[in-house]
Amino acid sequence: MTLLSLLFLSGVTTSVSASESVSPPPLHQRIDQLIAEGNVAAVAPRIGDAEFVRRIYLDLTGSIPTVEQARAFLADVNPAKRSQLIDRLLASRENVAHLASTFDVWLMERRGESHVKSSEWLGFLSESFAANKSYLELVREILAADGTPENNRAAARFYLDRLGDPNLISRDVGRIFFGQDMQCAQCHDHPQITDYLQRDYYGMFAFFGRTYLFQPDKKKPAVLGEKALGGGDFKSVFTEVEGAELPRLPHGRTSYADPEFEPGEEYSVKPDPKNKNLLPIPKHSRRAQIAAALGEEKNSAFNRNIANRLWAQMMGKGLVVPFDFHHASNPPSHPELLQLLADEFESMNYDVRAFLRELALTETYQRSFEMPAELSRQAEKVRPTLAELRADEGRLAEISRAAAGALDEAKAAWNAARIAAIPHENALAAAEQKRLAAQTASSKADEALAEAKAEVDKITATTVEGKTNPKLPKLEADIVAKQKAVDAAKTALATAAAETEKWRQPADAERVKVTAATEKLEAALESYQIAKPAWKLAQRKLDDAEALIAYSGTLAESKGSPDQAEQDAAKLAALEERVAATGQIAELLRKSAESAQAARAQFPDDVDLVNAASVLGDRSRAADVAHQTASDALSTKKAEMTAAIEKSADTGKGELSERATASFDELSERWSDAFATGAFTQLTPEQLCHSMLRATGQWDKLAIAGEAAFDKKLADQAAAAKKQQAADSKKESKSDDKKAEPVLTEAERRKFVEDYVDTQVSATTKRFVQLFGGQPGLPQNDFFATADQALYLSNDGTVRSWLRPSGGNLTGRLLAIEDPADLARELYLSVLTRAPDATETAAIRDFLAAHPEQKSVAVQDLSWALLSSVEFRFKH
Amino acid sequence: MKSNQCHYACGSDEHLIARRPFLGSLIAGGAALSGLSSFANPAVSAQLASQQKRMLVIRMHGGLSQLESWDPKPGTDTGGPYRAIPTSVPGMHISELLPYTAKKMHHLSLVRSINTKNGDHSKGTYMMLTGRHPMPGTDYPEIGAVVAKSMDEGGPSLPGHVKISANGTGARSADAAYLGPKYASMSLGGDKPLTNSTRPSDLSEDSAKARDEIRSLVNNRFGSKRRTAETDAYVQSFEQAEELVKRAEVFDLSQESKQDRERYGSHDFGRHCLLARRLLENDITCVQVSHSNYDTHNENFNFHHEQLGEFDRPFSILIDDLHQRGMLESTLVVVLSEFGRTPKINARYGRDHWGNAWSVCLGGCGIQPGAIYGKTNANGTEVTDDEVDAGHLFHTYLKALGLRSTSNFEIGGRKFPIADPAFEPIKDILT
Repeated sequence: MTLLSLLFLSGVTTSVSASESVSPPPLHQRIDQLIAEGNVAAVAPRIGDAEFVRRIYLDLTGSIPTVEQARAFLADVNPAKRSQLIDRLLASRENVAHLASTFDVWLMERRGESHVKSSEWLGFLSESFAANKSYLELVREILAADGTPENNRAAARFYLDRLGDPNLISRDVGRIFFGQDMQCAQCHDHPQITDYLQRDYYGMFAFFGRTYLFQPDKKKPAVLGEKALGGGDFKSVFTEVEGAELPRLPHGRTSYADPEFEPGEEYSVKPDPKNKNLLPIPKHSRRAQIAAALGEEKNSAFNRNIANRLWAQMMGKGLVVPFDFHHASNPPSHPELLQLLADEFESMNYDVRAFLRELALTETYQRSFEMPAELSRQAEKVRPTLAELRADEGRLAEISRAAAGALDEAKAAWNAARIAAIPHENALAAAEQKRLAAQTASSKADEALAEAKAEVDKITATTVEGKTNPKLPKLEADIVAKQKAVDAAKTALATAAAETEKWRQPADAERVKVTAATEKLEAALESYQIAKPAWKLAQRKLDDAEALIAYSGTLAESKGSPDQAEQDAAKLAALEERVAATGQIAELLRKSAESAQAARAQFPDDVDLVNAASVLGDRSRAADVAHQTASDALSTKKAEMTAAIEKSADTGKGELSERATASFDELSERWSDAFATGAFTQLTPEQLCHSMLRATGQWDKLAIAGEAAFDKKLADQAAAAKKQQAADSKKESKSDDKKAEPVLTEAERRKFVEDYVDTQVSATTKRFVQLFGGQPGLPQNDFFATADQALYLSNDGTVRSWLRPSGGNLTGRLLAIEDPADLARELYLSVLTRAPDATETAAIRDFLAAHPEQKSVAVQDLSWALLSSVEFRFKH
Repeated sequence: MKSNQCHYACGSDEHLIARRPFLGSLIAGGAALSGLSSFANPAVSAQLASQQKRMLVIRMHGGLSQLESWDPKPGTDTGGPYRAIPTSVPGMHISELLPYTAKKMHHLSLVRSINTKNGDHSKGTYMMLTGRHPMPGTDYPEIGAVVAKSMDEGGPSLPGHVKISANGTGARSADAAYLGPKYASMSLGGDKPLTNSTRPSDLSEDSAKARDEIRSLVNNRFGSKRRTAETDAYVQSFEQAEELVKRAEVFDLSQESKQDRERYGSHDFGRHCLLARRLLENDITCVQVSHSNYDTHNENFNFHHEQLGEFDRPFSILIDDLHQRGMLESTLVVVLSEFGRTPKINARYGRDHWGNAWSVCLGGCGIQPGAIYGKTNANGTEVTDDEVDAGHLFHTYLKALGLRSTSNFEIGGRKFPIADPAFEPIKDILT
């Protein structure tokens, strides 16, 4: 790794100015550098503008661009247009809605609304993102909410719609905010995962163990109640280890002890058995402690979790997969990168937008999803490094195994220390209880004596007769007896105290041993958490290299047979060379054009610079076109070869080609895991629905309907006002202020239309979520495809209605276009955000020619075909 | 509608399910049973020569009384008014409410020693269908989803998991947990076809074909650049949809012969049994039929008389048909409930919820015919021999279908044991 990074750095430093060695380069460059360190060979080329505009709109606004937006971006000649678009989209209204929806799915996982309306919760999230609230602040508000209106009821949906269930809340807080699903650690240390310990689960559970859903009156809204005692005790079903954990963040060093209260004084509002409607309030809330703890201590699991989720949001795949399974045996694909992201996100004050911006600016983000060219040549380059990769892997494997062994020992030692400590702790607790009882008895005896004395005093002090009161002797005898009782109680207390002290010392000694064992356990854990990922990374690189060489071998083998294959390979290699060369030129020119543009912006009056920028801009575009042409030619050739392979497979000679295809698919997966190719992932149900609405023009139609509804509202209001006026004038009303006409501003119009569209869109989105969303309460990022989804897209009236030609919608526009090539362009740009290639244009032409009588049906069929395609269903 | 509502309810959601009227199937003559083999369709039998395994679950909604069905205790304080009758298995007796089923017991077996220690409807249903004890914050897939996933050989096929009930919606349910919606059941039976499974009238067959060709063109171009399991699954979902439209008749009961429809009866349960046969014949892996409602807190005896009267004939015919068609060997049949009913008869002549000593009936694929496993005491108040839990039964079903019940599903980088590792199969009733 060191060698590679040195090589990489030396390559970079020649092109960057010396001043940058002082302050670190921007985050996006550091990200690219760390990704590059994990790559063994060439990565995919930078995506073209068309791919970029689709990808960035999906990621930042939740929908593909409209045809106008796509056209405008493609026509823009400014070389800095990508970063400008990123900034513009991050500032958009759609971005707020998209972030709110993304976080809603993460936080609630499509659970039903039981106690808080989903619209109120979404409103809370939207307001938070509109105000660019920091992620930390957002989470603390959610975790501090208790369901009361004065304390952010909407935010309490996280707890309330998990029905206040302490186990479910503990599990989900662990999963969703700390990336750790410790479910299996509920009953014992996790059997398969070395670093999920039962005490970690109970550390988390201790925050919530006292929480319950308080709703004595079903007609009134539920809030969260909390008991003052209990929560956090555990016993392993395997090892018999037991303990009581104080609240503690996962792998946190701080345990939060409860403040001490006199028995019976734990509540500020005591539970009242006579008044069930009274919410008891403890003086100390353990649940509130978690929000406070997040503000007080840095927690790397918390930071890593969100960094990983935001990364996956943009890059299509987490550095840790699945999101809620961060542990040493499932290390990040790029450990250093995840740490960098986590630290940087914290130091940029948990600013989600600023962070997404950096991710969008990376080369890694702007990479094509297609495999790089010239793989065989790459394989030859990699071959000589194999020995080193192998040695690295072996060395790190040994270190990791040693760390795992040490961790197992530390765990066993901790368990042993706990088991040894338990009888002492119990004995001390029992003695302490006895001492407390003796103390209570002693104070009671004291009180009784004092009372008796007071009685005597009362009698003797008042009157003369008092001194001869016949009760006196009996009372005095009583005092003597009580004095004896007091003395006896004192002796008992002293004995009990001595007993306690006797037990305290060994118990303390055991506790010290447990603390020492805990420290050793934590240290062993930390070493393991470093060693294992490092090994995994080395292993992955070695595997990648070997897979590449194997693929190249299979290719060579299949080339060996017929002449055609050899010719093909030569042709392919030539095309690959050309793609690489034009790509390099395009890249160089793009960078130059960007610098020139930046310089021009600094010195806008410098004519030479203006000219240079313009010339370089033109050149850069021309080079992009040349590169695109070369890439297209390569794609076409590859497609031909694939077809040939399939054909040969049909004729029974395809075994080798099949192997080559399988080997290529595996390689694609590997490159994707290493982020050497760009994001490739399904659209979420929301993205799919919104993109369909955009592509078909249905969204715009809704806006037009919204305008009409607004106009109608205006007209209705005017009519009502007129009527009122007439009535008023009849009555000769005196009050003038009543007559003030309702004036609706342009801003109100916009708001009305937006709300109108939102309402309509969200109803449709719900249906898509039902069909394309995962099961409530489970992670929502797994892909699945079912027949009922396809049936919906194929036959349901809703989707079909969007495709009916009307006015300026997609099919309406297509219907009006005469030339089939123009029609194909409009269709492809609207739905797939790209131009059709020659084959596709020809196919469209043929299709239209075959259905001359029914162009309206034909454009609907064509539009449907594109909407239902794989290309539309996925982000790439 | 209201009058059909179960009026002896205990107030839980389970009782909201409409109960179909009692159609007097007890009265129907037994003569129809003779000469059944003449209805068996030889073409279908041939097709089933392939040893595709399937599972049929009959869910006795609300809690079937073991004392009025599989484990009668006549003449005891808890036995109630019904007699026990001999069955086609020497020495095995079941309640006289199941005269037709009694004649088919040589195909079936009984487990009489279930103790799930639970008397809650939803918890009991969950335990019996997932083989797991509920754990806060965790959800497990139902048996149908587990079997459908385990038997999935890939490729476009009809859905692997179908549930039939009187209020079937035609849509997909959420019962597959982490196995994913692909294995969730399609809900059928409410006289609604599968949602969107018919081509709209304004979409011509030509159009449908033409647009599919263009879709393939676009997909193929994209596939030459990138093909993954996900893209394949998406393409396949359209093929599966097409298959569903093309084979809509699989779900259409009117395709069955008039004779068969008469044999099974025109009430819901009869029709649902026939539909189940049809689906199993068409290689749908897991079918569940619900019969509602057995939650007899009042008038237990009258209602079991009615309900089992409706159940007995179609069930026995279904077992016979599966046997005649050579399908029983490869079809596991299980008749289960969420729990049994109390031996103690309450003041309203009812029996209440009871999970401590009750029975299921199972047979077919992988199960010894005519066996009895486990035993309760003389008046059925406790299990005396071979107590089992829902977890044991779940393992047994999987094992009977030839699956390794101790293996794991690998999903998204995680291992999920296919059955609760704390239990194991009941070996004594497996073949």
